[in-house]
Formats: sequence, C-alpha cells, structure tokens
Amino acid sequence: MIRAFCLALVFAASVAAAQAPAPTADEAPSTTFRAADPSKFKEDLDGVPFMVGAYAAIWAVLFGYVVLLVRRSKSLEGEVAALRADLAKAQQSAR
Amino acid sequence: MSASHRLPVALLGLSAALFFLTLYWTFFRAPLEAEMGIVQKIFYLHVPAAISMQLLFVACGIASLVVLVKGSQRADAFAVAAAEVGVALALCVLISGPLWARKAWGHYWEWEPRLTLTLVLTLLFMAYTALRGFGGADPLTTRIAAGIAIAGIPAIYLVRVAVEWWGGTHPQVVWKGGLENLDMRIAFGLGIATFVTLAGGLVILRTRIERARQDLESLALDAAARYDLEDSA
Repeated sequence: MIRAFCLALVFAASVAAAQAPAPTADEAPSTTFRAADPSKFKEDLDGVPFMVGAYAAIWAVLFGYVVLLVRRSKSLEGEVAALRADLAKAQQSAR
Repeated sequence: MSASHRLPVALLGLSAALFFLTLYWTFFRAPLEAEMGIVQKIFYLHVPAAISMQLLFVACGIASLVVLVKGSQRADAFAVAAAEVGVALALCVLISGPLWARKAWGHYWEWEPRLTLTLVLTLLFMAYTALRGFGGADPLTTRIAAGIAIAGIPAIYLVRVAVEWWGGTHPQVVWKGGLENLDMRIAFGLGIATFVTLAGGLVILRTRIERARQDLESLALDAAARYDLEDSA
C-alpha cells in the first residue's frame, strides 16, 4: 500500500510538472529579501492588517493547542482516578 | 518537579523568551523589505513554523518505521506526538502564508506546486492523527497509520524541491542564501530557535500524555481481565 501511494505521489507530481507553465519574469519567485532604503521607501500600510492577522492566528493556534493538551492531561488524570476507584471496589468485593 | 518534568517546561519557557526576542528583532531591528514592506515580517514566523513542521513530520515518519519494524510503543507515542504538533504548526503555516500572499500576490491562494504539496502533506498527517485518534490501539490501525506517516517523507522532500523542479511563485529565499541584511538573518535565526524549542517542548509533553494513555489502557485491560470490571478506561 505504501509503495502504491509513493508511486501515485510521484506520478501526480510528474503530471503536475508536465502541465505547469514555465514562470514568466514577473512570476519568477523572489530569491532575495533586501533592506529598503528608508529615505526612498514609503511604507504602504495596507499590509499591516495581514501581518497582525498572521501573528494573531499563529498565537491563537498555538495557545489553543496548549489548552487542548492541558485538558487532555486533566481528562487522563480523571480516567486514572476512576480506574483506581473501580480497582479499590473490585479488591474489596474480592475479599 | 523531577528532572524529566523540568525539560519540557524549560523548553517552553525558553521558547516564550525567544519569541519575545524574535518579536523585538523583527519589529525594532530588522529593516523593512524593499519590495514587500511590512507584510514580509510574516516571514520570521511563517518559515520557522514550516521548517519545524517538516522536521516533525520526518521524525514521525522515522518513528513510524521503528513502530513497523520493532513494534515499539515508545516510538508509537512519539510518532503520534510529532504528527499532532506538526499538524498544529502546519495550520500556522497554512493560515499565515495566505495572509502574506494576499498582500504580496493579490490573492490568498494559488494552486502552485509548493502550496499544493504543503496542503497535501498537512491533509496526510491530519489523516494520520484522525486515524490514531479514532482507531484506538488496534494493531492494524497503528500499522496503517505508520504507513501513511512513512509515505509522508517523500512528500516532505517534494515540498522542499517543488519550486526548483516545477517553478511557481513561492519565494525561494532561505535555501538560496537570499537574506542580505544581518538583522534579517538574526531575526530569522531567532524565529527558528523559537519554533524548534516550542516544537521540542510540545512533543515531549504530548509524548508523555500518549505514554500515560497507553499505560492506562493496558492497566485497564489487565484490571478488567482480573476483576471483571466494565468501562474502566
């Protein structure tokens, strides 16, 4: 099954490669990030909401995940307590 | 607190400190990027999250291989943890990336090779975590899930080489050494350190929970067999 999946993945990638048009000069990916010249650069503040949104989303996802881990840990502690109680009852009735 | 409990707490604390240092360097030291302006600052969290995600998915694939070969429960718990934390980081990547793209490219999403493969990779590991979450400790489910995780390893490599092989508009800055400014490089390095320590701390915590769940499950089965208990765990 794994081999079939890998083959399918490689096949899909090859088909995508064959169909993908070559990037034009405008579409070519950027390969450098250069510092802006502060005297010439006028910041466009349209980007601020996207940047704040991205930072907030990353923070929210990670915070949510930590909360989920804590809740899971608490629920597991509850299950251990329930098992202990069941075991104690069973041992008493066995005596 | 025992030494083994101190490690994840120390890693998470270190990660929190590094996060604030990254924010400081990103917003007060690293200059604005000439073409993209302020929205490029997403890079300092987006790429470290993506690199940590890929490391975790590779770790999950390797641990899954150990599960298939040796049947190790410890490796299984680690694989589950790595996949789950990896998926959380993948969500960070898949949310922050389109927000950056909306400003840089004019639209949130493009079906170009790297983005598409990252989405496929995330769905693959979401399938893994869903299978493990709903399939329980059934050995067949564990083996199928391990197979899915191993199949993810070539997909991770394809994400890495996607732009070089098939083109696309996704920036190729990190592997091309394209960060020209020293403060940009420091901010990026701090971002990497933040996410690697965060991922490490979370994986250790999640592995502990999974190990405790495995122990509880086997204890409950043992107790049920010995004392005829019902629905103990």
